Amino acid sequence: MGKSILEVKNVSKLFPGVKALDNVSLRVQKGEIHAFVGENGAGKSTLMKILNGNYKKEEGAIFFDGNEVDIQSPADARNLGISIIFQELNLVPHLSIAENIFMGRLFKNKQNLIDWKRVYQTADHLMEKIGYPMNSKVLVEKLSVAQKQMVEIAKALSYENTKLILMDEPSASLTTTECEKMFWVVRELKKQGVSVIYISHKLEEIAQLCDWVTILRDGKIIDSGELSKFTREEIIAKMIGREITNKFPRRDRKPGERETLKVEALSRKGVIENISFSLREGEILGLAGLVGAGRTEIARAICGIDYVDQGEVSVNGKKVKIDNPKDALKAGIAYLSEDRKHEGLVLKSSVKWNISMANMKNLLSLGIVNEMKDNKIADRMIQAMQIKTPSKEQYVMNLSGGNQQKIVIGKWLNTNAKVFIFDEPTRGIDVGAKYEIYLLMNQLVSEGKSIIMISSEMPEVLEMSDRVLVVNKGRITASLTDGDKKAQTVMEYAI
Amino acid sequence: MSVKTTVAPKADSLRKIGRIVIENLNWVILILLVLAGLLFSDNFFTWNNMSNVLKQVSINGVLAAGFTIVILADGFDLSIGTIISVCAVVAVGTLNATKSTFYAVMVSLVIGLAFGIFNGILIRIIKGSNSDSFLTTLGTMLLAQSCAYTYSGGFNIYCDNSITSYRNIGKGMIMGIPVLIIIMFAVMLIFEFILKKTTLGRNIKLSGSNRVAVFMSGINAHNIKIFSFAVTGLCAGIAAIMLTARTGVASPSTGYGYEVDAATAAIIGGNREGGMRGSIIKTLTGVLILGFITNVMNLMNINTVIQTITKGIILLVALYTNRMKKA
Repeated sequence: MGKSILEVKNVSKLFPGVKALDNVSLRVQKGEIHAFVGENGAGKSTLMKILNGNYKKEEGAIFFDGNEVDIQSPADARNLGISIIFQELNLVPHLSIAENIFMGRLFKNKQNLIDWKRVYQTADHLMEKIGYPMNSKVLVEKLSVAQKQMVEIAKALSYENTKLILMDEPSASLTTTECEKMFWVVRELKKQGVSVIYISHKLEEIAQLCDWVTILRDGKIIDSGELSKFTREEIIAKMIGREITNKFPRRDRKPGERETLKVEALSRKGVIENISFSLREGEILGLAGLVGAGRTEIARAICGIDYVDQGEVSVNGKKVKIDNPKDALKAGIAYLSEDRKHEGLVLKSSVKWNISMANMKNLLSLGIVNEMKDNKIADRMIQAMQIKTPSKEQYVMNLSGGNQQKIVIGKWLNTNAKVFIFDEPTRGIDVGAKYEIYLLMNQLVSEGKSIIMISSEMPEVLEMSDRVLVVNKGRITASLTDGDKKAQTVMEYAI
Repeated sequence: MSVKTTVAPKADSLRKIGRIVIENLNWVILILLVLAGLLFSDNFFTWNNMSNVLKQVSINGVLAAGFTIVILADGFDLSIGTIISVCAVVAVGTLNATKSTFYAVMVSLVIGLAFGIFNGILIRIIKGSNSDSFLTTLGTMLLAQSCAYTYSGGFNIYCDNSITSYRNIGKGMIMGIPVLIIIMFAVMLIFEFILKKTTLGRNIKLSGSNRVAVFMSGINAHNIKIFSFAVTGLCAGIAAIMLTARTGVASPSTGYGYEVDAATAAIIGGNREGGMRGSIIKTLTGVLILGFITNVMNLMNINTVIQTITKGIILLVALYTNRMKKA
């Protein structure tokens, strides 16, 4: 065994109400490519951010290159020789490659002016070194995602002392050939003695690239060892192997036979491809998959929020043309966005106004608001949904996440929609409110409405849905019912 | 301990009063101005002076009412001043050519409305927010200005005074009340009704606060924006008629500076983008504040430079306190 570059001992991190990291210990060797795998929210990114100084650890110690270190800020990490490449690239589009690489530390000449010649030469040299020879005067906005990734790597290497590079899902938006090239660069780094921590959901990639794998789940390290010791199935089992602790209400009915929504060959280049499925009356259809797999994009395409290249949507057997959410609502489709604060609610407005927002026609007589009806609907919704608010005039921004979510749902219940698309309906709300939302969903389907539920919480999507579609890279890779509806199977199709 | 218990409620009630002052700053300033007028001048609270003030602010009143709609819908319209100029020269030109008050009025309204819709469509195309509408209407402002100069050839156009019905809009009275004042209150009443009672008014406020959420709720947020700009354009058309009917002359720079006064009045009144409590009544207080500053200070023989400085300071204070308000 070689010398270790990084050692993490018993590190914990608390977020309000959640233990994001629980007593985590691990070791990264010099010149090793070390993979972190785990489900969404397992704590991978939190650990990265602690190593980079974005977050402070609550407990534990970190040793870097043999010495105990206290990383307070990204600058500290940089000085030690840790570089991070985030999922969302942090480059300035209107500056050149060279300027991005040497941002804030451009070389100066004797007159204390910028020595552009040296800046460009060094940047060119760096790009060459990682096997991506490019003119470093080119503006970053002209580059492809893969090329930007390479600029990030070059930037990480431009610090002469870089010993460890953290990469958070670098391949998420790369094509296969671009990936191959990036792997080559990463392997070159390894030869130069640089260690890499590589976070990815894609197990094939990890199998190709990495030496060591650490599996995280719920903030704990489940297992860590040489990659060759694990089979793919073992890794998946360890990633998801949790007891289902959430409680879900029982539902004693079967979905009907009538088809309410039919989607055929919905495609948008580079985002979703050939999406076809149908939804029956009284059915809850789960869309499972990894974050960024294209589930939200499917919903947005159906509702006309994003344009589509081709594809058809039929409601109750009739073809409908949907160009915007207004058309969708007219066709009877309501979309509860995953981003409730920006896309669901007008925060600086009253509960009453938010509830009636999507169906002003209910209140309309010749365009004039029927205040009495407006008040009545608000009162009824607040009571039926048990929204905890001092009054219906209360501003929504002052309410808790769970109550806000109920208001968004109430807004859609106040329409004539038959099909509800719930995108992450329980994200960021507490357990009690979650249960109430599940009850509500059950009530909706028992009234003959249909629901498409997008959720990243595996137990939720498995328990609540009658049928689960697994989405992977913009395609539906599996349709699972009854016996097949297992976390293991979903993961296998999602990765 | 005993000191603490006596001090705390006092500080609390002070804070409460401060809160009330901030929430109702427009009324506080207005009342202070009226008190100043009553104190420093005997002529202030006369029918003559009051109707004079109202007549003077009537044009700004109409513009500010339109401006309120744009502000509430999260927009800004710099172009209304020069739209007034175009409307004015073309209206007077039409009046002189056709000898018809009706045609002159219609032409002014149609041109104003057309420029407003043009603004709205431009902003819809660039999917603009507040800052974008600022720049877009800056372009329209230049465009309208050059239209005004082109039409008039750079000269003043005088009304044909033989057509008394037109001049009566600016000088006439109905039941002892100047027509200008009646027009202002009529426009304000209609807009207040739209904002308070109609779904359109509610959508204007909601989309001004969160356009995306409104769009996702199945409301055509773009059309609401276009409507708001169309309304200000129409108001500019109305203002052009009032202005030329009062003075009897239209110059290509007639509307110069009117957009500033309209925006100032709407903001001093306490309106802000997406402000759910925004209203035309607030705007009316803003309009009156501006009118009274001029009037009271004139009665007190204070230099106009000081008047402008006062207006500027009040605008800045209003901008600051608008941010501190709940909504």
